[in-house]
Amino acid sequence: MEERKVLTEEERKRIDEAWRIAGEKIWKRLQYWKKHNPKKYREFWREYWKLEKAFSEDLDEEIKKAK
Amino acid sequence: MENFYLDTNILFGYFVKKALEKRGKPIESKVADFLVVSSKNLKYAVSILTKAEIVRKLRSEYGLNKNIIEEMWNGFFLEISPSYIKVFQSLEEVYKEIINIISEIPMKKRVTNLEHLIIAKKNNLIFVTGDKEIIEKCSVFYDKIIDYKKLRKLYKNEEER
Repeated sequence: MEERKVLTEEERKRIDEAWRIAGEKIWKRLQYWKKHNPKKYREFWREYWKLEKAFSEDLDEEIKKAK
Repeated sequence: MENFYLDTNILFGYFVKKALEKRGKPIESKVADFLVVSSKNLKYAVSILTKAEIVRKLRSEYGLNKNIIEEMWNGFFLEISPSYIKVFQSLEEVYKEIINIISEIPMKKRVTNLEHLIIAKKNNLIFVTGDKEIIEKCSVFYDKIIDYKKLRKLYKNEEER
């Protein structure tokens, strides 16, 4: 396995800031859709949970059975 | 160890979760959590096509600018450490293979996931996808296609070794 690059403090700050800005924009866009385009909002979450389900449906069933 | 070439869907969940987490709005994502944890044991791969799909979506749907997206992509590379697969095949070569597939099997969806499939095939990578049509119909063309659940199982085996 290749070694992971060690970041300088400046690189880390730049990347963290980019994620934060992206999070802000994505969050605002979701809130906008929730208010003005509920169809799009529902579509976003439908796709999101569809992927989660495709990924872990059997895992959820295993957990249920174990309980 | 085998390399797992990821489709864009599985990665997009990672980008959304990570960004919202940094905004202080954490959301549940088994997919993203798995990618982060499993990347310590499994080797993942992406290509220019993966990046193009991520950039398009982040730009057009969320209005993120080029520099922000580039830094997010760098952050993704630093955290998951995937291999970046350079596509050396010509477009002609890639699309000949795609035409070969779609002239034999009726495929309903657009060809992007077939492009991913050909990249995986040409580079002898295991193609991980949630596209049921590809999984069900294309194994005759390339036998290294798995769904997300199979990836999880392979990881579990790797972890238990």
